[in-house]
Amino acid sequence: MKLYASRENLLHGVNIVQRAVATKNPLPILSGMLITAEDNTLKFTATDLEMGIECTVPVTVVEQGSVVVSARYFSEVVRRLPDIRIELEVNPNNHSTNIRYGQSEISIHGMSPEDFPILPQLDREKSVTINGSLFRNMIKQVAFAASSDNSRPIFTGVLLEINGEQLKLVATDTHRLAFRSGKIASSQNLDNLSVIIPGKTISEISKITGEDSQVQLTFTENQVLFEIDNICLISRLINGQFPNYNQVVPQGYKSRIRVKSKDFLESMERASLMTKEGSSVVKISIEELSMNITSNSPDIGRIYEQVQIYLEGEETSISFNSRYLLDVLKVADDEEVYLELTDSLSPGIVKPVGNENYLYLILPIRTL
Amino acid sequence: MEGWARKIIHVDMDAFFAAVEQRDNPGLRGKPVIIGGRPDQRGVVSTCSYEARQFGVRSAMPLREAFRRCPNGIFLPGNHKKYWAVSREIQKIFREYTPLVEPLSLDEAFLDVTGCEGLFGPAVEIGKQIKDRISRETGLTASVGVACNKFLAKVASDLEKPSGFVVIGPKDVERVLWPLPVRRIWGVGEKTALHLSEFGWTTIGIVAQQPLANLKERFGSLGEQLYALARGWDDRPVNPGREVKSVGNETTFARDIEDGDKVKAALLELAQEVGRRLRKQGLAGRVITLKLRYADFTTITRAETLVEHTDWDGEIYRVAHDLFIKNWDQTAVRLVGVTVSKLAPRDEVGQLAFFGQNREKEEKLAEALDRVRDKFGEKAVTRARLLK
Repeated sequence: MKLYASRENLLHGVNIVQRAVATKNPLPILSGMLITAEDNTLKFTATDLEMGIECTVPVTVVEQGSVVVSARYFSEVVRRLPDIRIELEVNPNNHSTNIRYGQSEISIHGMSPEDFPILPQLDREKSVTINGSLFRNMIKQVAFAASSDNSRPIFTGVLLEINGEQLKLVATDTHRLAFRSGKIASSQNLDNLSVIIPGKTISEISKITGEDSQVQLTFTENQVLFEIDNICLISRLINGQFPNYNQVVPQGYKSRIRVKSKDFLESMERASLMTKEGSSVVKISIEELSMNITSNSPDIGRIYEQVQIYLEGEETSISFNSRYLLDVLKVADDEEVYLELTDSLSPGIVKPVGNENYLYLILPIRTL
Repeated sequence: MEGWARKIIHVDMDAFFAAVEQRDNPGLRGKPVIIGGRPDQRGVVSTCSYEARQFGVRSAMPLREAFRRCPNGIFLPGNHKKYWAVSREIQKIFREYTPLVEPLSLDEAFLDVTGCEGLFGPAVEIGKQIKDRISRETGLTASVGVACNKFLAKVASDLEKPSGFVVIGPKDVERVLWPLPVRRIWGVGEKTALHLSEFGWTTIGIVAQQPLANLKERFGSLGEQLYALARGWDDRPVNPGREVKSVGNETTFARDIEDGDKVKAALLELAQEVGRRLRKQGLAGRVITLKLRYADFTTITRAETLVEHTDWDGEIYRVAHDLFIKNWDQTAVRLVGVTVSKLAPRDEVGQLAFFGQNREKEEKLAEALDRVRDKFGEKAVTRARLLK
């Protein structure tokens, strides 16, 4: 294998597939990335067996071939190369990989490409295309609510539902729940689709999706394939039944406040500084014209924040984990949000004023 | 107050149990309420309202005697679960001002607020705020003493009961402390008071004039204590208590057990006890540890970490049972133990959850069983499997 490439193209390929490189896998081959030269392209492949990424960049191929190189060392090397034409040559007998730039040369050990797992080829029967910036925004508003606790795998994923022209994403860690819907071009083969995509997969997708890209999704029984420009990402799906999220959405409210997102966020950020270590409890009391946020930690100090609001309904008070509120306020794009409350033991609802497509439920903390 | 080395507050709820009953039942207000049980029962008065005190009823008096003095009194068994919950509310107020809270009982606590003035104002202000907040938030009155040490703070809270507020500084010792009877000295009970009176030492002031050697000779180590306290000296720290790190229990079988079902029954019983103790202390834990000792004394411990804190018998048993199934080598068992650790106060882990993670029913059941056991004793109700 021999080829010429620009540093920029190499770096792009390395950066994209690096996300799928296994960090804690017992198989040494998975700590590497497969690079394959053919038809004036160089294909990078990495996988941790949960998720696999392929990225293809243009190069000038002199001799076809492939090799597996250490993801860590190869990417560190590429990052530090000068911005000139790079020559890559692999000795097929011992997989030694030579990187030449100007009058200099680096030679790193490689592994046999035969040993690298082959990413499955999916039948494109059930596919749909989604606008990249919409999909990215939906993921941003939902994925953070997924759980990181692996003892209940369902909640570590994001539910993706497609029904006609409607796409829905839902995630919950059982303490809060984020819901976002969006409109897509309808796809006949995909009616009533409901799958759970691992949280890690979906957040990687949002990172590699460009503003102007289109994302093509292909589904099989157990896997999902995302194709974005020159990138393919394939991931397993999480098996199991996502709980019926509709039944936990409160119907109606007793108090509804309207507040400037930025004011709410900034007050909450300050209030969270004064919460007890490990508890993050803030108390919110709603009065006619103001929302008062208090928290205190005997070891640090205390805080009283007053935020201007419009109240519709009853005055009330409730305690929340400040982190759960901060998370949603950071991703609510609209200038104002509603906070709807029923009582101190029922979920609060946060939704942007003027965006019917986003809903965030947050369960309170019961305090004695 | 500037010159005080420490700022200690003593808060003492006025006729606590009786006051809670009067608060929750307007029909009892203004009436002599006596908590402790029925007058025909053996037992003593645990608290009585101020109205009952006018009849000469006192705490620790036999119920029968209380009935003789106050036949029209309203005798109630008391609802300790409720008093405990109110006590937690009050202690929560304390902890907003300082982490150095030493509860002496449900209705009484010391607070060290030294250094908290920057946040909340002078100690006297903190004392007033606490008194006001207790009144506003629980509808109950407290007597508060503010002083430079624990002894004086406790004397102060007692001076103007009910609803008193007294500050004693080092300079007030002669004027305020010395005229008081010796019984007010910490550690002086009926016997010592009698002993002191034999020397004609009836007030704290008289004791304060005795040389140390004199007191030591007659009262030994208590003499030193009398000497210091009578001068208003007391350097005992406010002790927030050893933090409970784990709650556990174990059983050694009378004979080594080879029958797995019998071991499981023992685990169930241990889980019940541990759950009950956790709930009593208002704690919940996240790590459950099983201890197994075999007939040959080899001992293993295996633990599992839960996603959320629990104080519920069923959950503790489920985990202990699974650990047992996974780790038991089928040979005879000499001892089993169950421990819950990584504890946190129940009210700080009250994050509610969607999708069946709440165990409201189970929690209500556990609470109901706790109430039965509070009232009728620990053996009053149990699982059929544990009947012997």
